[in-house]
Amino acid sequence: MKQLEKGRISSFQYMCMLLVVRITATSVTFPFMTDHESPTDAWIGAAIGIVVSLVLLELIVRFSLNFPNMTVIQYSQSVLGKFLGSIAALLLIGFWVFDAAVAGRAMGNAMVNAFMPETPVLVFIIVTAFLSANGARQGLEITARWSELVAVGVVMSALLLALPFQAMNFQNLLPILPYGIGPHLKRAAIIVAIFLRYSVVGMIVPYVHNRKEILRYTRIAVLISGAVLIAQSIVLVAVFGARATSSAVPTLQLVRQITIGEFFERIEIFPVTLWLLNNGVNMGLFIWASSLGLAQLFGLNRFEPLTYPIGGLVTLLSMLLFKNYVEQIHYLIRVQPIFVPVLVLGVYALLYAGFSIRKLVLPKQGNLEAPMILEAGPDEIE
Amino acid sequence: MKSNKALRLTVYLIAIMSLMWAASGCWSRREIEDLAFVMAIGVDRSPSGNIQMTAQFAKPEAIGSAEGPKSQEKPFWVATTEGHTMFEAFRNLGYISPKRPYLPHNNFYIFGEDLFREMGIKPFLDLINRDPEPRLTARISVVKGATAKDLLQAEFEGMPMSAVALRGIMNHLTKAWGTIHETTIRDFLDRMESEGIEPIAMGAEVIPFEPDIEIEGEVSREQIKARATLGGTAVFKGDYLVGWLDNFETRGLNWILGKVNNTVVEFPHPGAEDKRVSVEILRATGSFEVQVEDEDVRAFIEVNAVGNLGCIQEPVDFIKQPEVWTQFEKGAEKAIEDEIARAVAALQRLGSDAVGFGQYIFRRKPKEWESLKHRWDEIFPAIGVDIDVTVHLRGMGVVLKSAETK
Repeated sequence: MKQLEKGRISSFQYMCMLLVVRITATSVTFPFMTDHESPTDAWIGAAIGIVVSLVLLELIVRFSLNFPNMTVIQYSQSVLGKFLGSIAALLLIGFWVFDAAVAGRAMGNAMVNAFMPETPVLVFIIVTAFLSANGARQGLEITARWSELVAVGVVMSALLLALPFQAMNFQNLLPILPYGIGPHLKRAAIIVAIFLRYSVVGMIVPYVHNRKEILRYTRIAVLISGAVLIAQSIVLVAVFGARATSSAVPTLQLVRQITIGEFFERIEIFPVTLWLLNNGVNMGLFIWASSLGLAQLFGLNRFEPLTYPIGGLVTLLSMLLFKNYVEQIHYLIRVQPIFVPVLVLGVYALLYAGFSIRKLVLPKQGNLEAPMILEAGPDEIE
Repeated sequence: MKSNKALRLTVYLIAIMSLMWAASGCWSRREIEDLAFVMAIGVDRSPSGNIQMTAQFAKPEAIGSAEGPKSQEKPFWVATTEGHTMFEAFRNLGYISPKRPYLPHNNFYIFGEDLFREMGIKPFLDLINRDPEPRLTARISVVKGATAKDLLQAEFEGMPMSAVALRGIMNHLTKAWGTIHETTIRDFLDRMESEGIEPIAMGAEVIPFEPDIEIEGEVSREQIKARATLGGTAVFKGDYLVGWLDNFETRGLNWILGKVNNTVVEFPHPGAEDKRVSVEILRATGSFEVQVEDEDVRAFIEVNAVGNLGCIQEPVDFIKQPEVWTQFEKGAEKAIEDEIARAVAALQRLGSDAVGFGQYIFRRKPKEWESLKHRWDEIFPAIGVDIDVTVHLRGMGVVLKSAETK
């Protein structure tokens, strides 16, 4: 079988991609804050979610490292067999396409809601999807390098968080746990759902240059993006108080509160640039992962021709998924925290079950390396 | 290979064609020469019961440049429209303004007192909150005894642009008097939506000029009909306007909230009858605690201030009588205490917890607040208040002794 993706990325680039993917999900909408009781101590919910995500991702990445030369699509078939494996793979690919569409729509909607009400959402999404598909077509390395640049945005967003210092009142963070832990568990579920977009690491792992560092960099990525998340939720409450729950574009609203000396204000252009760049990398990565996944699943010789159709699919899906903003926010708050964990964790649980059963039942043939060599991963382990 | 080439060509063509729309500029572009910058928005009730919106627009061509003769024209103009909703009223400005009314530079939302006779402020705030154009950092103010339209037509000496002049007065009062509580739309909404605290807005008044007074001097272009001032506080309960705090009651509230910076406190001269003393407070900190024991709620207010002697109406020889200095400090403390007590009493009379005693309980003891909040309307007016004010006077200006007759 031909080697489809020839790129190699550094573990730092790997981390940058994860950071950008995570930041994308909360840079526009901030679903875990919106419409939940007890906004004042939302950071507790965020912290719970981050800890849970850290454990889950540790498991996912460790599992993936059992097959260091195979993508999740490839080993799903060698673990579960042709039929079940294909279903698991299709579920994952479907999820990535779907998730890229959701993020794209969130970005497009926010642009329309906040800046250009007369412009159709489609314009923003088409442009992003087209550029991302172009990037994805050139292989993983392009998106990875882009993500390195965009990760600067993470630093920038941290800076922007500190700027509305005049409007902050940390008394707003009290009381802690007025409604018990219940609302925070709901919140944590949303955070876990957001972090489970990292299921895409299953596609990246074989292409990371130094695999020994993957675990460490995954943890760092989760912790950094988690820290940004917690900082965001604290600053939002400090600035908006009880109103933190009611904004549709909280991070943008936050930046609009920045006035330094009645001169340094109206700097929304920074977060908006960030939205677009983040979304480009995010879509690029997911389109790449889906195309490569499909190509591997169906044994195609090249994955590149798939990127444009999948980009188109993402565009269409993002337009068709939600009729209006109400449906979108409903998905983000009510549907996502159940749907995403069930899907992603379900697939990985299935894979893990298959893996363990194989290990138990076939201890003698038992090296799962066999199919791996057959299907010829990108290259040998260093 | 050939088909591949054809495919490539098609993709390139599509890509290039898709760039065509970008050449025509962006969809929602706005050119600066097509925009009318709104500097202040006033909202009143129209005679027919609709919303009457008054917008003050900047007139950039009248502001003039550094070169050339200074324009005698007013640098703003005012337009009034009606509508059933804020949005409709705002769009109706388009019937009058040849340029598109543009809100992001708006500094002030001013409401006429009449508006709140029968209804709350909620229906008027949603547009400001929802629309992406208005800024939440704009200030909110309620005009006492006049309409917002009158206020927006007032003029000021020195700063012809009246929205800018109002902001000047606001900044000055905040820095030098503390008799105003600078409130942005965001603060207002935050207070409105928070547990145990009620919203407030800045008070504003129109000062009509006597028609027969001749005004000579700088502003000769045309006679000023009315001026305006800021001061005091409009007190809300929920979203209803329930009453007013005067300037010094407002400062009383600001002492508690620690919002007083520099201000002047005056009190009777301890050594001479009918004479008074003014001290300048340079900085002050204020804080409060609320204690709940079963049914008994008490508030403890602590204010610390540092200041200088400002002026005395009867000379005192501080070298011979150093104890008078302490009496001055005590006098200032008493004056501040009275102000705070007046403010709390006024709020209790209005039944509006604008200090946030309830919020204090909610933040520290959310469980107890659950049981108190349904009866807070009964509890709040009866809260006992302990006020502890400490004033340290440091300097006495550049003289030791006042000028004295011989």
